[in-house]
Formats: sequence, C-alpha cells, structure tokens
Amino acid sequence: MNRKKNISRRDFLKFVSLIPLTWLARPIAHATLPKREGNVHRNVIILVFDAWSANHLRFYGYPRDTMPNLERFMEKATVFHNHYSAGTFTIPGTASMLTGLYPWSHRAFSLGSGGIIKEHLNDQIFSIFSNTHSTLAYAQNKFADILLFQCAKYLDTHLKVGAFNLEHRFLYNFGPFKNDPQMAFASLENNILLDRTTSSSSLFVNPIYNLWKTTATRDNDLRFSDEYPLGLPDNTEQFLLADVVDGAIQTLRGLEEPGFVYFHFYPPHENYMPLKPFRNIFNDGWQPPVKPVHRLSWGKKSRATLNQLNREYDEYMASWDAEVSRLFQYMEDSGLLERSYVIITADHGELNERGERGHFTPLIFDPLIHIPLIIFQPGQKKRKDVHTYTSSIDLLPTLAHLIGSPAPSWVEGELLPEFGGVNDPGRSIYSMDAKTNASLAPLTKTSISLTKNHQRLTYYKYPDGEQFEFYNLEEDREELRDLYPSRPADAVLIRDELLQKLDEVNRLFKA
Amino acid sequence: MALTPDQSQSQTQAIEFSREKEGHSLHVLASRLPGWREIPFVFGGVVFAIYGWAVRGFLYQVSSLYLYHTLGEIFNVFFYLMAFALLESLFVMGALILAAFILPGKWFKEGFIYKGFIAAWVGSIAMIRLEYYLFSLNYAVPSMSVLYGGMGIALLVLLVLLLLFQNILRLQRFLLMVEERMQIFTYLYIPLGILSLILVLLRTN
Repeated sequence: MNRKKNISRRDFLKFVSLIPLTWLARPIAHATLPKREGNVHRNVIILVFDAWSANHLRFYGYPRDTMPNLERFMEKATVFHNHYSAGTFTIPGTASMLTGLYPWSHRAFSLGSGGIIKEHLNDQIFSIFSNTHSTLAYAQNKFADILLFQCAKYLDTHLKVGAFNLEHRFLYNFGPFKNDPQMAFASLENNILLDRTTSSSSLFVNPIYNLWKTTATRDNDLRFSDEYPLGLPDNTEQFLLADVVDGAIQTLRGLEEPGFVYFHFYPPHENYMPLKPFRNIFNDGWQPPVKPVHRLSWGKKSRATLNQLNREYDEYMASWDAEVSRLFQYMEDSGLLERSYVIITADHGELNERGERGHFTPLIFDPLIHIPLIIFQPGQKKRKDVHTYTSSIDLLPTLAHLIGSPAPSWVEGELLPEFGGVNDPGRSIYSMDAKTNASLAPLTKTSISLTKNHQRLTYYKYPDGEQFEFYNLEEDREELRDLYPSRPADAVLIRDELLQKLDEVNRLFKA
Repeated sequence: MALTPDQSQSQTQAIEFSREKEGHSLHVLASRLPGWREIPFVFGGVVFAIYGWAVRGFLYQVSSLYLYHTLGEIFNVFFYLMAFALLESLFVMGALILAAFILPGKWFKEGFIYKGFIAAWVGSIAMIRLEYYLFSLNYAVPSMSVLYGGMGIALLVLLVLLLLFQNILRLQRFLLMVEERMQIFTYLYIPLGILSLILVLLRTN
C-alpha cells in the first residue's frame, strides 16, 4: 500500500515556525567555535619605537621619569618585564620581530641593504594576516623599510618611509625605483648619494648634493629652533615629532577594519633632538654607574660624553612621549583600543656606556637588548605583569594565536605568557650581533648572548680572539662583575648550551 | 580669402627673410659652440675622471656588499653606478659646452680641446676637496668664507693653467697626447654606461 507523503500546508507552517530558533542557537554555536572566530575581527596594531631601551623607563627601574604618559596607559595593559630583542640594531631586530626567527635563521644581520633570505621571504607576519585583515605598514627607518619592501606582496598599503617627514630625499622608493627598491637602495642611498663617508661613487653630484643638504638642514633647524633648540630630528630626512604622530592618527582614521597595522617610528633613535620644554629637564646631577670602556668597544667615548648622550636620549624620549601620547589618546577616545590588540615595543635598545655610543657596537649588554613590550587587550582594565624571560621572536606566534591561527611551523619563538604561553623560568633567550659577518657564511665574527635563569653568558667570537662574559642579573643588573674569570665552572652548562647552538646553526652554512 | 599678387610676393619675401634669419641664427649658434672634433677629446677626460671615481667607490664598497649580496646583485649595483656615471658625464660635458657657449669665445671656446679638459680636471679635484672638507666637518654647514675661498683658489688655479697652456705650445701638445690616449676609455665606458642604463631601465619598469 503506497501512501503518497505530500507536505501539507500545516507541515510547512510548522517548519517555518522553527526558523527563529536558529537565532537562539547562534550564541551556542559561536561559543563552541574555535577562538579564531572571536578574535579574527579584532585589529592588531604594532607600534615600534626605534632604539628604545627598557632600561631608560622608570617603570623598569630607571631613576628618571622619561615617559610618564606611556606609563599611565600601561596601567591597562600586560607589561613584560624581561623582554629581549633578538638583534642589536634595526635590521636583525626588525627582521626577527617580523619573522619569528633568530637572526641566524633569517640572515638579515649585516649592515646595509641585505634583507631576509629568499628561503624565508614568505615566512613573515604579514602573510599570516593578509587573508583575514587589511594590512598596512610604515617604517620611518630606511633599513626597516627595505624589509617591508620584501613583504610587499602581503601588504595592502605600504606607506613611504618619508610619508610624515618634513622633506623627501630618499630615491629608492621614488618613481620607477620602487620597482627595484633593494638594488636602488644599495646603489643610490648606500653608494652614490652618501654622507658620513668619502667613498661615494659620484664625483660631482654627491658633493653638490651634500652641500645642498647641509644648507637645507641648517635652514630647517633655524626655522624650527623655537621648538627644537638642538635641531630637528633627522633620519636622512628631517621631521617633526608632531607631524609623525598626526600622520599616524590620520592613517588610523582611515583604517579598513579589521586591520593589521605595523608602525615603525624612528624616535627615540639618534640624533636625540628634544623639544624645547624637555630640554634640560634631566639636568638633575644624576649619573649612571661608572662602567669602564670595554676592550671591544668601537667608540671609546669618554664618560662625560656618554653621560651627556644619556641625558639627551632621556630628554628626547620625554619629548616623544608627550607627542605619541596623543596617538594613545586617539585610540582610546575613538574606541579603537577597545577593538584592537595594541602592541608597543622596540626593534632594539640603546647603549651609551662602556665607551660605546648608540648601537653601532659589537657589545651586548642589557640596555641594548632589553626592550619594552606592552600589550593592550580589548577590554583590559588592569595591568598584568609578566616577569618570565621572553624574546622579540615570540610576537609572531602569539599574534597568530590571537587570531586563531596555529603557530607557523617555521617560527623559533614561543607563545607569550598570558597569551596562550606558559611561564618557563628556564627558557633560553638569545640575542646576537654579526654585522661584520657575511650573511650566508658560518658565524665566525659574532657576539651572542644567552640569557636564562637570571644569568647571562655572552660569547664574543672574532678572528682576533674569543671571550666569554658571565653575569648574574639578579644580583648585578648593571653587569658590572664579570664572573667568568673567577667562576668559570658556574658557566659550564650555559656555555655548552650556547656553543652547541652556535655549532648547530653554523652546520647549515658549512661547505 | 585669395591673396593679391602684391600680397603674395611680400609674403614670399617675408618667408625668405625669415629663413635667412633663421639660418643666420643657427650659424651664429653653431659658431659659439666648440668644434665637434674637439668635444670627444674633452669628453674622454671627463669620462675618465667620473668613471674612475665611480669604479673606486664601487671597489671600496664591494667587500661589504659581498657580505650580504649575491654576485648577481653586486653586478646590479655596478650597473646602477655605471648608468649614473654616464648621466653624470653627460651632465658635466653639457656644463662645459654651455660655458663655452655663454662665455666670450676667446675665453673658453677657442682652444676648447685643452681648456675644456683642464676645466674638467680642476673641477674634479675641487669636488674631491669639497667632499673631504664636508667630511671633515662631519657634514655640518661649512663656513661661506672657506667655500668662497676654495672656489676662488679653484678659479685661480684654472686661470693660471689656462694661461700657461695658452702660451706654451709644447704643453698643449702634451695635453693633446694625453687626451688622445684617454679617448680609449670613452670607447670602453660609454657602451658600458649605455648597457647599464638599459639594464637599470629594464629592472625598474
């Protein structure tokens, strides 16, 4: 007996009446989805301050109040107390942050225009966000900008290095040269139009260009001498701190959300040019602890010069704090902070001690690698503190995790504590410098430090000699007492670990 | 509207006059320029100085370039430098020709073959001095008195050399011999410069 089963009008109405229930089911379904669905719509905004040492912030124990505005905002963020840069200057420091790799892996550690090696060109932070977020990047430091050019295919917007500068002198990103930025940079900026050296390849144009440039610089300095008594900040192109912040705010106003934003600001990088209200505010008589000139120092500067530099660095930092606080305020007032993860960090620190100036040095000491890391989470109202040792290479896997992506297979970093990671007091954190070592050769001219368990071992390996230094950071934060000569046995384990790591990374490049 | 025979005739005369005037102007223009056979000799000296300096700069940096660039990339940098040197050589040569055109003929145009060469080399040495002077000041603004003084010395040296070479025929002959030998560099460097310029244009487009 076949009974034909037709859907009656009544059945149809019953079915339709159930449709609203699907809305009730939505929150349940949403809760069971992986975290990616919850956070993928958040913006991620990274603010990098160039050459910004944590050791010069009161929050980290410095006697001068260099960044009071930032510290006020930090009360609503997660603050990492022992965060270290993997590199000691812009190229390796930035490349490590962008790739989640140590410099010995991405190989961008020489001075000049060399970037991340081809094998790792796709292994970078923008590739993770390019499918889910609009991507925008800006680097005011030309060396960081060259790295951004390497990431170009994952960038929706790449702002020019001089986008917010007072003048425009760079050629590598100008007109047709932006189609060949790395070679144009190596030729034009690093060879033809050169200052600070007499090795330019241009006989007539370069001296005339330099003469014009020095005159234009002087004229601008005079024009703004009421605001900047020591002259204008300069990254080859001069700029005003206020213009940079205004430019950043303007850019964020037009942000296509959800967005992934990377802002790499030049301040407080040398030359330290404080604003007038901050000039001499730290003329307080305080002097940093006496640290003798290091045997490997390149600068051999006097203590008086370095004290003066430190004071100007602090005053410049205070000037930058006053300006950049407008950016934080904008993010707070506009509600952007509530919709975004905001990360504030540095590419590396600054070392005005032991005879060295800035970061052009083979030395590795705390002020050069100890950098701030401050993360604002949407809705966070109270400060959280993380004391575990962490590295700049941890940023990439952590951000991937925040938007629900697994940590990419290539990364050497780990998830940050409070953001999916664990507190591992015994973790090994490396920082290295190899600016005179060939990029694709074994590391034979290098300085490597290994920090763990409140100890730091630094290995200086150069053709004219090798040297270990060993410090107990808990008792001797200023790294004044090298324990290696008197207690080498205490450093055996950490030394073996470092040497084993060096051997491991060098094996890949041995013939 | 048709022209009357008178109008047509006067128009033809006007055109002829204008052509004559144009021809005269061109003739005057050409007569103020240095002789076409002199220019390659001077250009040889310019090319030698500018390309020589460019190669020196490249060799100075090649060891550091080798640290972070492949051999192919280093060649690319070299092509950029050679292309720039070509443009710089043309620029300097253009400036010398312009000087010959503007200045009274006796000052620079007559004897351009040696005067242009001497001017190019005095200019090159003055530029090297300027570069080192700016370097010594750490690229701070130089004092104008030093700059004017330097320019004065360069002009004085140029004047003395020009007078010397103008009056001593043997020196002129010696310089001509040097210029003849330097011309080989034009045949070497100019094709290299053109090839490099093409390669740079291809890379940037």
